Amino acid sequence: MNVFDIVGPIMIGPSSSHTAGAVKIGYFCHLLSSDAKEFSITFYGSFAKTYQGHCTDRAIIGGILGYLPNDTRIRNAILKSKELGYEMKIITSEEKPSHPNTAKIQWYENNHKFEVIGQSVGGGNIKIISICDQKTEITSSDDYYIIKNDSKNIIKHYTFKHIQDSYNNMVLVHKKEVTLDFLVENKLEFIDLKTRSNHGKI
Amino acid sequence: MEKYNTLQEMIGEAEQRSVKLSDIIIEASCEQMQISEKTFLNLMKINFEAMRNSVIEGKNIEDESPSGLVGDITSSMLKFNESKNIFGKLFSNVITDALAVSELNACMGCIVAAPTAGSCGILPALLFPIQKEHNFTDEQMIRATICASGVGYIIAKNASIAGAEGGCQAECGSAAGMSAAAIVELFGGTAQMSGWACAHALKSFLGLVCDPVAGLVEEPCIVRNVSSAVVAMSSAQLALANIKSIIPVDEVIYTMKEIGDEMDEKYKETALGGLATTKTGTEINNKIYGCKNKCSNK
Repeated sequence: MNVFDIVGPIMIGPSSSHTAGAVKIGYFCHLLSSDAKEFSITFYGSFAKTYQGHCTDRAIIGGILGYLPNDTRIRNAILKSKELGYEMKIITSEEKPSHPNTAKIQWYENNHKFEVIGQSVGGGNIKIISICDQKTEITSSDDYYIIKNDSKNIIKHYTFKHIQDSYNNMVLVHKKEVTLDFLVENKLEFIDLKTRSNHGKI
Repeated sequence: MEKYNTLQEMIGEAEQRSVKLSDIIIEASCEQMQISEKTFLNLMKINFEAMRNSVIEGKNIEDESPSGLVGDITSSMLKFNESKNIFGKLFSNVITDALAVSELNACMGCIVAAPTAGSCGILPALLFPIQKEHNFTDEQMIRATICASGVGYIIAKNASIAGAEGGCQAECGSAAGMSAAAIVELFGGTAQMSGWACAHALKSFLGLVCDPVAGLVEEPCIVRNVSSAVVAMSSAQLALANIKSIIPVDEVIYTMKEIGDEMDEKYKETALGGLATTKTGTEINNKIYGCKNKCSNK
């Protein structure tokens, strides 16, 4: 936490946890998905109870479309997703989650099922607690690289095997596990999820 | 910032070195974030400008909120201000701006959480009317914003700034405490006076529950943003007049946490108690969620 978590973030209302946090959970799926057009979104707890009033549905769909929490297009995200040919299904669950603001997003990519469970833990901060049944504790995608086309299997210690299988050798790697120098030396194509900058041919 | 555990530690450091509270916050934040002072000030300027835009945009809202619960309160106040001046111009401007930003938030406008979206109307409602009335520069106002952010940091660290954890005292109360401390620094008060101002404001909100009708950040949140801004004004003036807080600020913050922890879950943003479950609150809830597609189809 720093002072910009206190005066900030700059965001579309009405709720830091139900709107801004939901955008971030959706955005995380945007980063992981590729060509998928059909997403199933399940809301739990307080998300399930009040999502219409807080527009959590618009927020999470906006995130999947690639909008960030301060993007005014979030207001019309549902309409926009339909225009772009997406099919976004909203489901509410009675099941009691471990945190009141929980969402599960599922989609298929190259016949592989993807499932991301995220929680909005307050002040617009999120925690991704599971990716494809693998437990995670991702609080910020900023800490990760997406590395593509590692056909020679240079990266040994990636975090998510499932993603590698589904995306033809694409891996999600924590920055602690690999240095920038290493990536450049080995001429790997990668995206820095903090700066969103592409390196290589991606 | 991690090295400071209490507000009094920061105040002590500022007094000992004869610098402002904001100086201490800038120094500690740059150290924590590994950035230069120039970068830090530029980052805060971005949030400051976004707050200014939210005030301007809030006065020009044309839509109603997605729930249909609010939509014309700022315009009603602006109209009233044209014909009557009861408590002075600054007072009118503060309560109007608090309404404008909170209503903008309810209508999915772009705001700055300070410290949360639910309490986003308080700090900007003080900053911009005071700047206009007293001709402060942007640099001075950004300093005040920094002071507010550092005070909020300590509150978040030792209590909470989330309604779901501590009730409304943690959201609107914190925003009022942060703002009151900032106003004191702006008018040349000492760091200790900023601490008193924060304490005076927090004391006024101890025990306040978070009971939003239909779970929405609308009723009573918008009106509480207005009253919190007014409490920040009175708290700042009390401290500037050298009226100290008999209970030290860190003890007040601790008390807020204690009360928040003890507070029943139904009063912590769950919409299961308080105004949310009144006869009218329940009717509104059923009306909004009974017609499920209203929000989704827009």
